[in-house]
Amino acid sequence: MKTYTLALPSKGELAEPTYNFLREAGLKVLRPNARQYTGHIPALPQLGVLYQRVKDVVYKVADGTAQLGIAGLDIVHEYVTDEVVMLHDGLNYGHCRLVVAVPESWVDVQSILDLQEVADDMRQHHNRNLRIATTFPTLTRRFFHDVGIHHFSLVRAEGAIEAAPTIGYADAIVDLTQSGTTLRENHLKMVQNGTILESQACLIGNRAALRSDAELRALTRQLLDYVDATLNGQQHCQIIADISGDSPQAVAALVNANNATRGLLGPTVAPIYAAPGSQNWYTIQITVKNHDRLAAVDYLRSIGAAHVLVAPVQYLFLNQSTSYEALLRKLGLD
Amino acid sequence: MMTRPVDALRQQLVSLCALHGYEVVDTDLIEDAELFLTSASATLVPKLYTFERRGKPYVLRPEFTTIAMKRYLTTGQTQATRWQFFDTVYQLDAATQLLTQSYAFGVELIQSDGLEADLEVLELALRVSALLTTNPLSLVLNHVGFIQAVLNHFELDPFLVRLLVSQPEQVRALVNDHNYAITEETNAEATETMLNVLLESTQYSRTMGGRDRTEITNRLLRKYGRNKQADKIRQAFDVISSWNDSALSVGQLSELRQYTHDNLKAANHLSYLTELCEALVTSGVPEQRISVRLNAAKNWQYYSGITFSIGDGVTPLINGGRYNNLSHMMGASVSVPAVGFTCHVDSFIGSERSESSVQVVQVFAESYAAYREVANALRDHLIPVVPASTNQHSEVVCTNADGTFTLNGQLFLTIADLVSHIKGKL
Repeated sequence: MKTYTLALPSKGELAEPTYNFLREAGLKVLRPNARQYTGHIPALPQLGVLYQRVKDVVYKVADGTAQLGIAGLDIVHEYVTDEVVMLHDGLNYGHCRLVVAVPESWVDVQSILDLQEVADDMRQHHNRNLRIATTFPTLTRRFFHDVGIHHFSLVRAEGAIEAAPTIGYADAIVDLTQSGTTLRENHLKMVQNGTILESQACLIGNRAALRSDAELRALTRQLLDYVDATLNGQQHCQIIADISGDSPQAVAALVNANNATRGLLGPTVAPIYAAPGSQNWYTIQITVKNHDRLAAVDYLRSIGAAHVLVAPVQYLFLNQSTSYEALLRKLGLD
Repeated sequence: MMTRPVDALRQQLVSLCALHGYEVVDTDLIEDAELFLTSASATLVPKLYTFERRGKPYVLRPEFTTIAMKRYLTTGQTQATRWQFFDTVYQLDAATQLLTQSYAFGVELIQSDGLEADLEVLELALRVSALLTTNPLSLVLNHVGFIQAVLNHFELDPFLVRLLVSQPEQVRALVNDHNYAITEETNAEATETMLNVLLESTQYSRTMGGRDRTEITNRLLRKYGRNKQADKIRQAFDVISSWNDSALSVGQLSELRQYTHDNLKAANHLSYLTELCEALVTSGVPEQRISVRLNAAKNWQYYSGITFSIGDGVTPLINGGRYNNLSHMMGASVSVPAVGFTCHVDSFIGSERSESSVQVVQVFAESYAAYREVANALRDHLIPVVPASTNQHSEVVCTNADGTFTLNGQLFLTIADLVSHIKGKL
């Protein structure tokens, strides 16, 4: 049996959420101890786990040391190479934004257009460039050119970037933020239209290996099936309710009459064997989107539902893995 | 020994331009990135391939113009200088961000202003084009100075003018969204006081980046002022939009007079453009091959006068123009008038062409037309020619009013006699 490697973040913001996500997906990673850099997933015995810094996850997948990996979209886009193919660009955790932030004292700057003028002023009147501190030079450079700011200098920094405008070695910064709290604490503010990237965790693979190795593709299909089903499950809930009615058809017609309770296809209706002499009761079962949950419960109450049970969905497998189909298209194998 | 196709092409182009007195100059492959990051055009900067070495940014040579101006400024030149460059240039592909290497040919005429200098470079560009391809070519002209003069007439601040030219859609959004619509009337003192109170009470003053309070105050006042300019911004935007849609023939240039009422600068630029077109037609460029487009002004900070492109209607073969602002952008205290063009020649490497030799003769004439006539006649015999600024020097060919020529005190009745004498001497 051939074995393959999944590279995962060993520390940082993505490490624990990745472990939790895989566990919820039924792919719990067993790691002998926190100091070891390898592990395994009992549900996918062909897949070994290699723990790396999140930046190195991308490198390891690019050079083929690992065939699969989980990293942040921000890192993947920053170090993008042809060797890496995106398998799933939204694992729904590790959300953050790569943003342009300027000192709060710059009360004249609200938007990126303002920053463009400030950069222009520096060039025209002070013969110097706007200085941006960042650990994302590629994304920053592309974004600034895209918005028409061409005369800027990037200041490389590895930590405490938020302090750069206070210390004075940069005018503004480009950095990741979740809530903006750290920026505010350092007297910085985001600018309008200054979001470079909305990031979250993503699943990547080595393009050449996936294109040439059918066994790896089969394994990847299993992994993507779990991922898709888990993410679909996170977006849905299951509703079971008891409703009285003349017949199963009549109850089904009532449930189908509302968009929120129509579910994926329609309700399952089963008779309840209640005490003799009571009304005809039926149990209906539907799977609905989470954002329809309260509307569905309200409607079911309005049509006479006596008990409404709402349960989370762990997996929702569709007739095929949409992510895997998309991967085959990217690899030119569809 | 076999000659490489690229060397054959280089020889062709270099020989042709040497006939016009252009000296071949070699440049370094690696340059200080700041040279380009601070002075190159907005369209070039995103294409620069930069890298760091011990904290200092460097760039692979992306073009020749900036390097030529740096060389001119740092070597203490003061005279009109004709340089030509043939070498590899390196730029990032905008779509893939991959580094591309290509051969480029550049011609720069530095410390030379006016119609004659522009005509010299334009005519040389047309000769280079004709050498590279037999396809019918068209010349598209523009005048950045005219655009500047028209927009300046709206009394907008320089940033808005630059934005109108390079990112007009941003200006439309700016006006529509009333982004700058701050209605309070204010003055510098009140604004600075409010700013000081805010910064001290919040401790925001601890984090200023590289700006001071005066800069912030001044810009706040500028933003306030823009509220009153919304109508003017809209009018300027409409003008820019109307230009973007159409190309004008030489005969239609008079339509631009609608923008020159009460605007002497614009009127002067327009008459210059008209004169240039007429001179080109007189020199043999078919009028139907010349058009004027006032939208090709994205290199706003770089160019100052005419800009041009020569191509087959689909792909520009040659791009060039007058860049009198460049020396200032590079920090020089003096303005250095200059004009030049660049030709990307990769697709022409390997074509068959004849060879020619390199020499230089100075010619003085009362008019550019007279100079051109004798200069081209000499060049037709592979004798290199440059214009002379004076007829006092004995080695200068002087054209006389009666159609004769003088060289070293000797009179020549016809151009054929002059050519025969010079060829024999050389």
